[in-house]
Amino acid sequence: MSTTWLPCSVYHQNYAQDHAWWQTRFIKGKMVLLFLALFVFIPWFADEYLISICNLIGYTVLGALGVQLLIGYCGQITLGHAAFIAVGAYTSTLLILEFPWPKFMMDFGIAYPLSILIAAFAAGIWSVLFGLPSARVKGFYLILTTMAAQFITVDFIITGYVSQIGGRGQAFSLPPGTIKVGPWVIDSDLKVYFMMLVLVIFCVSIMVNLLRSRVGRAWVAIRDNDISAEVMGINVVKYKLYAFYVAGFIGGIAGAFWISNIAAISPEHFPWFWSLWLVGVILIGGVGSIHGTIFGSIFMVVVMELLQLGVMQFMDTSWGERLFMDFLFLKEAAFGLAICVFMIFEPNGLAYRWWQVKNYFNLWPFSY
Amino acid sequence: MVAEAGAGQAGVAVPGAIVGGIVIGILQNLCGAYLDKYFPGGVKEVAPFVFMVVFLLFKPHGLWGWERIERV
Repeated sequence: MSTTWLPCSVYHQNYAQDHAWWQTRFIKGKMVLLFLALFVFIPWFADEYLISICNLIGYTVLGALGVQLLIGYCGQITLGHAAFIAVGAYTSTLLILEFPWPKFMMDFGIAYPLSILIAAFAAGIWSVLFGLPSARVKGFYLILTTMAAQFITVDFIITGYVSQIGGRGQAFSLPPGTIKVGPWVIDSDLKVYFMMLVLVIFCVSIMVNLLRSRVGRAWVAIRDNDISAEVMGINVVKYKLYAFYVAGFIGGIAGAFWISNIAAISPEHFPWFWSLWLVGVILIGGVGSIHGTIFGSIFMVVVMELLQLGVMQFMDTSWGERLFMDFLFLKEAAFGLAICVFMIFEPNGLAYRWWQVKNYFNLWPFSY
Repeated sequence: MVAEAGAGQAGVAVPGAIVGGIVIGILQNLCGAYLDKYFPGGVKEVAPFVFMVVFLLFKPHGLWGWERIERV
């Protein structure tokens, strides 16, 4: 579904040009504009509320990337991704709070980025542990095993054991000033925004580079028909576990990023509903495309914020006020409604519409 | 989860669900009663899931499930 259309007079003369990411000057110009828009215009013109929405979009993108890899590219349906995000968040928090870092690391701000990496590795390994059943079970039963991962990890291990480390009770909170990246202390939404952009670009580039390689082709083969993939010589178990590892890795980065946004962590931040939300995000955006992840995240976050603004207009009436109190239920209902509407009218998601519009302009004045 | 524990793909879906329900219910409450003092709470919710994961490793299609023969 995503082929590169080259304009008429562009010919590649060496391999480097042929497998470059940005193959024409037009695309390079577009990317420069996108870079400027993300790094310069949005922070310049947006207020704190919009920046915080962008941070939420970034967090959803990071979470949904892992789910997209497992469901959209490898065919393993997973409903337990919030557990791996939680593992990443808790590992990072505990490393920052409890680990006796040498003083120069805390001063020069190396502790937090290093903790993000270690948290990502830990989440990846935990994800492989709960991905081991995928070697044996498929389809519906795999959904239940990953759901088991979610409940066992968050409701049992984290609530019971990990929360109690350090004797703090149920929630950890990070004092301001502990999260430092290099010389910058991450204490405002704007700094979280820049960190979010760096992390999202990093994770998306990991994903697309893996997908372009032998590993990605193996994943797509497993998704399309895993018996044929095994017959063709692809080690299906190894690539399934690898998919779980990379998905857990990206989820760990998402969790470690989330603690800088919130500066406090508790098991209520990673309910099963969040796993379901991420699956809904990629369903709406389009399964099997990175554009779909990003569009789905933007759509879901923006729609929920618009819904909240809409409900706030009716705060004066009695039913409006009760609606605002029960906003969580309204959010869940809207989520279900959005998925139903998209499954009926646009089963390929928003990325398909984007591709259609793009091709209209690519092929103009021809119609196909 | 009850349906999964008992049922298969064809044939014995309903009796499987009944047996699965009984087994899960008994297991959940017994685990909650006996194991709660070793763990800081919450065993009752998690025990069925742990049992299910272990069970699926040995019988990936359920208790009486028939394995679906897939053709390429």
